[in-house]
Formats: sequence, structure tokens, C-alpha cells
Amino acid sequence: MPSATSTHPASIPTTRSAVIRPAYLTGPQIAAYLIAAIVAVSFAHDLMRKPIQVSDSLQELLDVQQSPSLAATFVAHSPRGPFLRPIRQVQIKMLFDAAGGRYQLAFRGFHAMLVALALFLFVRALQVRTWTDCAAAVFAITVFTGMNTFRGTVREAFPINHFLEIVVFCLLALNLAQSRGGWVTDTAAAVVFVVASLTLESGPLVWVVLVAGWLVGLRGVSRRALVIVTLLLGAYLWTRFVYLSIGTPGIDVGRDSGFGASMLTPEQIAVRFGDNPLPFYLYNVATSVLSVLFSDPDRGVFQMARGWLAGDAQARVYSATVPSILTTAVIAWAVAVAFRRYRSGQRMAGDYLFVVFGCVLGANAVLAYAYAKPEIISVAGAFYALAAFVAVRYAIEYRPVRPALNRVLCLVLAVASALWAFRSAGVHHMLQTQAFRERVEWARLDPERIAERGYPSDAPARALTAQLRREALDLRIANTNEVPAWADDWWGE
Amino acid sequence: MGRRLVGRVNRPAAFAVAIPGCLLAAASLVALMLAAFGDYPMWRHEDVNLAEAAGVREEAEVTRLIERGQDPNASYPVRPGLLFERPANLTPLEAAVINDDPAIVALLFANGATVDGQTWVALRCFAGNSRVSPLLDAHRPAAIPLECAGRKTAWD
Repeated sequence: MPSATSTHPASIPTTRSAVIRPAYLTGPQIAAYLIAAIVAVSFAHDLMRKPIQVSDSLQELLDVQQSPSLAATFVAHSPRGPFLRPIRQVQIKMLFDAAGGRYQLAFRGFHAMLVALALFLFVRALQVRTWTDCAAAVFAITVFTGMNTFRGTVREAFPINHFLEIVVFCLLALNLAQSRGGWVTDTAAAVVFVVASLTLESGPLVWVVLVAGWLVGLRGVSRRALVIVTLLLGAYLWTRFVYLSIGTPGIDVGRDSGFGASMLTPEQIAVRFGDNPLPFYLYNVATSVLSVLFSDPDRGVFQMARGWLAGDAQARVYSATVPSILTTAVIAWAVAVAFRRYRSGQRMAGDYLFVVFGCVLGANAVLAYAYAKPEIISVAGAFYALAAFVAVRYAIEYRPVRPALNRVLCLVLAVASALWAFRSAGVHHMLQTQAFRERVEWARLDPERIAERGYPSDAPARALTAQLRREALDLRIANTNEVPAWADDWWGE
Repeated sequence: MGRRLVGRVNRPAAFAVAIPGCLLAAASLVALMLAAFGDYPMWRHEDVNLAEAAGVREEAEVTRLIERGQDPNASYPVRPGLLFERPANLTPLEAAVINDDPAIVALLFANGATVDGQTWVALRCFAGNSRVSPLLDAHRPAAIPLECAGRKTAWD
């Protein structure tokens, strides 16, 4: 950590933009981007060797194959069931048509590109300047990629992982808010909001990021643009709730969800909460918040409690919760310090990320009311890592008077950092295991008998299924039966 | 926006937060460089024949190899370390029964694997009450008595 000093300018102009970026990259910035790039390429490598899955993807691909045009696809999904996601399906159609028959390359390549983009925007939002920032950024990258919420964005694709897209859109919105501004930025903010909102139900989080950014003083997106985006949000809500009357997904959405120490099937949820779903919704909101802060519960199930009750303490649960608890404790301490200083009139660089994280966490948890799933709160996970960056930077710049206290601080940071890096490495194992399973799924699928599974069975559909199956079987995938058991104990799901 | 907390840096703390992530990046870089030579440490893939795939429970690879024309009734050399410490010559069905994998045994039968009376008795005696036994019973050649006393399999 050469010349690890934090010599920021005494004050940074905040009139138009919160951040003045130098025209060139500094050493710490290059280092942070380089580490993010290596991590991104390593995940991209794994994703490119992971077959497009059968469940959740084959049906979507057959749908867009049958659709005559992008417009028809858009109309057919405006709405579908309790969802309003026309651009989601349009994207699949566009990629499908552009793939030229190389679907594995197109869809997995796009997935890998999204991961790389998310990491790039994440590091850019950190505004690294000094080597202290760089150290904290390395930590934040491992938090971002080690969290359960990130796993959800790479584990599956449908066949595009739209949860990851929303993470990218929200990080892009933050980058726009941090920028110098201008009409291009304003236009981009409006476009990002529209695309995100029509891609997934959590898309309006883009508005939350923009508004939170404005409230803390980020002026990259102008007041006029913010008003326009707010009007667009109003138009979206009116279209959804009044014009189309599709409301929002409820407990009849047909998804498994955890409650207490066990998973409930849609039928069990209906029996227990059909008359009054409010407690179930509140439970999902609360557990979504907890799962970001402590990595437990997972999918609504309190895994640690379940392990204790069953007498089966799982290493994978502790490897996730321990770094989360330590990191959340550091964030809580840093927030308290920042608040004290704020009241005495001092504002620190990056403090605003605590506020933005709080807003995003609350809003994202509310949007996860219908059922618990790590992917749904993946935006909050990404912003948690941003908050962790600021908090850890506080910790690095804090030197306790008592040496013993300093040793404890270093130990806490070292344990948290090591466990996050270990968790992040475990994503590779998870992807390997998923790839092996998905290849078996394809092997068991007979393209000539897909009608038995409810898929369209005309000749083009069978040919597409056969093509996807051939691509999956031709992938060189390691045999996870040969992986040592400890890997599954610590990194499995 | 604003100033930093202090002008000093707690170097041990900085190292504590940065080193694990840097090590992860370094390990990832090494892994990617190895991958360029087909030897990615967490994705080590070895080419296997049909019997080896059946013996290490690679169901998808068994399917692929059969579809590529490998004979489910032929014998294949199985390298040491996969099923036994020594090299062996096995049919895919023998390898799957040794590994007690009903999914692959069923797959092989569905794709034309057959057993003669002698082989069936040897496999059935080896299987005992394992998970593959019902599948073997379902493919029992007609009028074959099951006498296991003192019987040794070819790979014993």
C-alpha cells in the first residue's frame, strides 16, 4: 500500500456535481479497475461454460422463436399475468434474432458482459482517488461478489438475468447522478428509468436512486430531469394500476417462499395466509432487509436457526453470515460517526452513499413483499457493498488510541475481508455445480418429446431445442462428482 | 463532497482489508492463464470414454458419447484412479453398477445395453441390495438362476 495517504482537497465543489473526476486515471484507480476486471473476466469464463438452462429459459426462447416481430413480442407481454415486463421479452427476442444460431455464445456472452458492466459501474461509483480508497474498493468488490444477492444474479438466467440488468441500471443511475450533468445525462436518466421499469417490477428502483442522490446533493441529474422521471413514474403507475389494472404480484404468484425455518409451497402459503396476506408480506419485507444486512435469512428461511434446530450447523451458512455481521457492524459504527460529524457541520466524502443505500434497501425490500428471493434484493446487495466501501474507508482512517483496540479493529477487518474473498471464490464452485446440473437437464430432454413437458412441438421448436441441447452437451464441463466434499460444504447451496 | 475523516491512515487496517481481495484477484489471474492452456483449476475437465463416464457418474457425458456413436456394449479401458487403483477393462454397464448409479444404468439400458446370462449374474451378485439391483432384476435374462456363492467378478 505505497503512499497510503488520504490527502483530499479540503473541500469539493457541490454546486453542480458532487464529483470532479480527473481527465486521466490515477494509480489507485487503475489498480481498482484492474482488480475488478480480473474478477469480472474470471466470472465471465465460468458463465461462458454454463449451459443455458432448461427451466425458465427454454420456454422463453421458444416463445420468442414463435413471435413474428419485436412489436408483437412487446404487445404480447404488455401485460402477462400479474407482470408488466414487455422489454424483458423484447430483449430476449433481440438477442435471439442476433444470435445467428449460436445461442450459448449470445446469451452467456451477454450475461458475462452484464457482470463486467456491473463491476465497472460499481468501481466507478466508488470514486477511488487514494490508495486508501483502493484498499477499501478491493474489499467492496469482494463484498459485492461474495453476497448471496450476487449469486442470484449469476446462478441463473431466464435466459437473460434481468435482476442483474436492474443492478446495472441502478448503478448507472448512481453514476449519472455523480456525473457533471448535462442534457445527455438527463436524457440517459429518463431512458434508463423507462427501460428498467418495463423490464422488471424492481425497475422503479432507478427512480429511488436518482431521488436519493438528489436529496444528498448529487446534481448530475438536473432538477428538470428528476421531475420528468417522476412524471414517468407516475405514468408507469397509472398505466399499471389504472389503465391495465394488473396490480402487483400477490401470494397467488405461485412461487415457493421461506417462512421461519422452512420453505412453503404456493399451496401452503395460500392455506396459511390466503385470508390475510399482510403478515406474510411484512415478513418478506423484514427478512429481505435482514438478508442484505446479515445474509440470513436466505429465501425467507432463517438458515442458522434451522441448522441449530436440526442439529446440523452448516459451514456455508456461517461463511456467509459472519462476514455480513462484521461488515454491518462496521457500517453501523461508520454511520454513527458520520452522523455525529454531520451534526457538527462536517460532511465526509462518500457519506452520501450511506443514505442512498438506506433508501435503496428500504424500497427494494418493499418490492420484495410477495416472495423472498435473493435476486429480487440484488440491487440492495450492490448498494450494501457501496456502503461497506465508505465504512471500511472510515475504519482504515481511524486509529484507536489504545493498541489493543487497534488490534481488534484489524482482526475484525481481516476476518471480514478474508471471508468475503472466500465467499467470492465460492461463486466459481457454485457456477461449476450449476453448469454440471444444467448439462444433465439437457441430456435428459428429448427434443422429439418436448410436447410431453408442455412446450410447443412443431418442427422449428424441436429443431431449436435440439440445437440448444447440442450446444449444452458439447460444452466441456467438469464433473462436480469429483469435487472434494468440503467445497460443497462451504460454498454449496 | 466534504472532507475526509482524518489525514492519517491505519496501515495495518488497510492491509487487512486489501490483501484477501488482492490474493483472490491474483489467484483468478493465474487460473485464467492456466485456462488459456486448457487447465483451469476449478474447471478441470478430462476427456473420458463411455465406461469411464459411466463410472464417474457423468450422465450428460454418457448421453453425448452414445449419441456420438460409442457402443454401450463394448469394453473400454478405465484408467487407474477413476474406479480402481489399477487399470481395468469394463463395459459401461459394469462401471455404472460398480458405482451404484441407477440413473446411468437406466440410461444405458434405454440406449441398447444388453447383458448375457453370465454377466448378469456377476453384476447382480456384485450389486447385492444396492440401488441398481431393481434395474438389473428388470433386465434379467430368462431362466437364469442367481447363484452368488463363491462367484468372483471379472474386476475382483
